[in-house]
Amino acid sequence: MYMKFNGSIKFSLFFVFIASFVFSQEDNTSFPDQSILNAPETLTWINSYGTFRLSEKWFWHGELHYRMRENDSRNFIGDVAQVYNRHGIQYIPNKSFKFTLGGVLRVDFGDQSGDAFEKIRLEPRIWHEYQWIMPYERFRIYHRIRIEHRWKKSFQKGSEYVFGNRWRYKFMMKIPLNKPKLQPGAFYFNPDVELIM
Amino acid sequence: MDKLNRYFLLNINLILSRVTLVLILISSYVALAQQKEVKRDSLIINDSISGIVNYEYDSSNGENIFDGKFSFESVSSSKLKSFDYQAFTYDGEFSSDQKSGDWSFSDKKMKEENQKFVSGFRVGNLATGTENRISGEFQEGIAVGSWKVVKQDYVNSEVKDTLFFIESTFKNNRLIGSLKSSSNLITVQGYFNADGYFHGDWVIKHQTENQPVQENRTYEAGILKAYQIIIDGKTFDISYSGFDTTDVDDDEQWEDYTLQNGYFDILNLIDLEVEQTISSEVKLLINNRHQKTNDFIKNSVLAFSFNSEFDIWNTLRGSSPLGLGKFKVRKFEFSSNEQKLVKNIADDFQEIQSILKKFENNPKVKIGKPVHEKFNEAELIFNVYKNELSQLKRMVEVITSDAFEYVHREEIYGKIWPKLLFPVEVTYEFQSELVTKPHEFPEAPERENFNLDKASSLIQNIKTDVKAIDLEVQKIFKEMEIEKSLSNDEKRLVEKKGKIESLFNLDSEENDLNTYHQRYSELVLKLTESTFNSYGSLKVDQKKNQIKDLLRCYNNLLDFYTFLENLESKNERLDEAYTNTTFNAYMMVDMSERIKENIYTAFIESLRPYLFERLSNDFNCENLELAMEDISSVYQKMLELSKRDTRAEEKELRREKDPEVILSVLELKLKY
Repeated sequence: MYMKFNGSIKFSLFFVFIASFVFSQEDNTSFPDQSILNAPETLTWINSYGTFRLSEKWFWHGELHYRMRENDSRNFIGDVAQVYNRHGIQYIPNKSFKFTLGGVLRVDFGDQSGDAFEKIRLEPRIWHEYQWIMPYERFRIYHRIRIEHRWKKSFQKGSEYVFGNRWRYKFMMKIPLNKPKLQPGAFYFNPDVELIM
Repeated sequence: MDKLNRYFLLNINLILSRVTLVLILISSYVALAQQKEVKRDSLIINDSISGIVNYEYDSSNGENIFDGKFSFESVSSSKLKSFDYQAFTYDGEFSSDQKSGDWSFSDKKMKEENQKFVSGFRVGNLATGTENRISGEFQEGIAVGSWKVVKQDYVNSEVKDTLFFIESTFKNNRLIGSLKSSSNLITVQGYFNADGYFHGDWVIKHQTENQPVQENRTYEAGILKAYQIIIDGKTFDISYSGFDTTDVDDDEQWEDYTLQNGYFDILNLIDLEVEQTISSEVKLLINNRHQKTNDFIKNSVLAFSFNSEFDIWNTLRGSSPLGLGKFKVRKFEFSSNEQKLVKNIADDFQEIQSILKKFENNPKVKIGKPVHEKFNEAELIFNVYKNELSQLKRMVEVITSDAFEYVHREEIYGKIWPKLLFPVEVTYEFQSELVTKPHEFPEAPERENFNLDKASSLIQNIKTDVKAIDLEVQKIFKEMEIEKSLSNDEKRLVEKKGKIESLFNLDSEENDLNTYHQRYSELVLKLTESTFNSYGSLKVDQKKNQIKDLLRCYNNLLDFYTFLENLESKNERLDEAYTNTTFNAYMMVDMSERIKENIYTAFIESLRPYLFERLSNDFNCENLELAMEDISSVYQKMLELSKRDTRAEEKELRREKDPEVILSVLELKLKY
């Protein structure tokens, strides 16, 4: 089984291990005894994704996210929740795998009022991801492992940044709806499920 | 002292005068000696004999003017068994480019012997062979004096035997006076008068063991007056039919005739007539001796100037052709009608011979005889003519000979009259049965009133008959050829038909037919069958005209199979050419999109269906080749358009569905 891994996969797995090792050294997060669930709320996410070719195998990946959440008077589009830019340099050795490394600057807008709370907080991240693609005649299946190294703090004034790692695995599909395959002009159905740790 | 001085002066004067004389003599000698120079060069004579020439020339006249001694030698090795080397030599002198003085020519054929000889400081081999040597004299290019020709046998470089000898005198470049000639078999003694005519008694003696034979030919200034052959003491008077031996009359046309002109051809034209009654044996002997003498006289007299038909003296410059005796003969000049008749006889006879020979040598006759009755009939009729051909040939040879104009024709027609025996019917075998058929052979002429007219009509009638039969035979030959060529072509036709039917067979599991094949299968099979059946119902000559076209049609149908087979890959190529593919790094998918969509759509949705529909509606041999060319050129054009700026065309073809308009926009013209 091991022998079947190609060079790029081996490289990416190696990178995952090294990265997790490095960052796990400083992980002093304490976990609650039981799950804390946020109250459900409605959100609106407006995202734009762009990948720009730099050379044969190198790309620049950029994302801009604008997210809104409900407030007392409006569902979905009550207040601005977050704005963040995610950028990275992407390496695509073949059409079945890609690797990205980059940074994120997230701007969070607080929903708590009062002098004790900041209205805005910044959350920088370093992220890297590994994506494997399973091509089929009509659709594609994507397996994405994204690892984020985050520095975050609460809205409370004077709070300190706390470093944390986030592990994400995402299973995605892109299934064309109005065309026989994924091609210009095709609307596609994009189901996905993500496990975030 | 004065005396001494005077004596001294006198001696000085004497010495000076002598020295002056000596100097004058020396200088004049030097001046004379400087004029003659010798040159050695290569020379080709008679366009074939190459050798080395040594000659003197006067430097004041240039080296191209022979002046003085001249010698030429050519030695060539031979591939013949009878001799190893042949050597030609000339020795003589020129005076201002004119032959002058004693001259000799020698032709040696030598076989090398093993025995060696030493001459000076040279070592060579002895030789065995023959030498033909001619020696005589020229004065300013004119043959004069005593001349002789000797042919001798050599063994080990020593003369063994004299094979031939002739001696005579030249004056003013022609033979005059007595002539003596001899070989081992014949001796001739004769005379030329002052004008160079054969004159007086010519006595020819044949050296025979049993019967001494002597001929006496008496000439008067070139005119043969009497001819006798004496065998064993018996005298036979000889004459020639139609040959005038009377004296020259003013009303008559007499001409000088030489041996080179063919004088003896006139004498040999007709059999000799002997006044006395003789046995056939004697007649044969007389004819034989007569012929031998004629040949001997001709060869021996011409030997003064000819060696194996090459003119010895005229191949070198500086002399005129030698006059080698002449005769006087009466000419019976042809009228223009007679000339025409003679020419017709010659041409017609040649045509008859040619037709008979071609028929005889044609292998088709043998092949066709069991099937074609005409061949058997023609063969028999042609054989009748062939049997009579020897007689006709003799007649034609006499009539068409140059000598014929020098004999009194009325006197010899009876002698050249062909005694023909033509049957009235022919019987031949055909398919194991004897068939007898009448055949109208030309009427054989009668001997009494036979003449040039009759001879011409006879030959012409034979030619007409032979040609008419040959025409029918040629028709059959042609049919046989057509049948043969048809049978080869038909074999190919059937093979091709089978191949077409196999390729377009929808039911065959072996066939991997694409949609185009399937679409046209029925049409192809129907066309193959119908054209084949139509061809089968044609006559042979119509088949000959049609077979090539049909073969071409079948070739096109076979090409059509490959054409259709390639169409799918052509479509794919076109699809690729009109597709732009880029890699979407976000989706990780190659994204393809159609380019020049208006053109592509017009082709796919309108033009291509139209072309195939058009062919289906009018599927025949004539259109198929053109249709394939048209469709290919449209595909080619589409490929070209994919590579260039087509904004104008795209605009024009937007939502265009009319194939004619599309063709016009794409600047295409269909061939059918």
